[in-house]
Amino acid sequence: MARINNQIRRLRFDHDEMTQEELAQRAGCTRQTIIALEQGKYVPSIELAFKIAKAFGVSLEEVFQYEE
Amino acid sequence: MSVKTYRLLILAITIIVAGLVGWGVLIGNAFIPAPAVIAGAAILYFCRRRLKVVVEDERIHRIGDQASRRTIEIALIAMAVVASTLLALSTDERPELGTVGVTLGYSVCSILVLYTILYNYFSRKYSGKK
Repeated sequence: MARINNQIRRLRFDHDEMTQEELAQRAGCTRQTIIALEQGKYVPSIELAFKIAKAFGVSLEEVFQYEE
Repeated sequence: MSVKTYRLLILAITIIVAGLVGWGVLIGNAFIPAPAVIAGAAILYFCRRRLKVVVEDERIHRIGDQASRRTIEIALIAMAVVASTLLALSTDERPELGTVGVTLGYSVCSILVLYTILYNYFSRKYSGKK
């Protein structure tokens, strides 16, 4: 089964231990959404995925990986 | 506006609107409840727009979409079953059962018609056709 993994937790810590709240504010979503993403319970829209990547200043592929 | 202020406003407006609706019903004035509900909803809408933090996002909307769809499915099936049961139980001695059954049946049909219209509207909107 295909799965979309993400590196949000690692990237947050790589960026001076950015808090979930701070990332949520930068990406324009709620902290609960960041928690759900980190736990792999929610797959974001393309728009939110780009916003998260932009918040970290990295490419989309560095944050999200598609696994078959 | 902070989230705490916004939540307090929601509580206050809910209490005021509920009070106005109750008062309108109590004195038998039909012109109080509807404007009170509309004004309350409008105030909440403008307050939400002034919020600096995000309290609603795509995940909340997706949850709402799924909950709405399931609610419609369950409610329509339940209403259709109750309507047909009431119609079957309706006799000359108990005509009110038939009336309630027909009303429920029309309600189910109305909701289905509205759903079809909205489905077609959004289907066209997101189909890419002009």
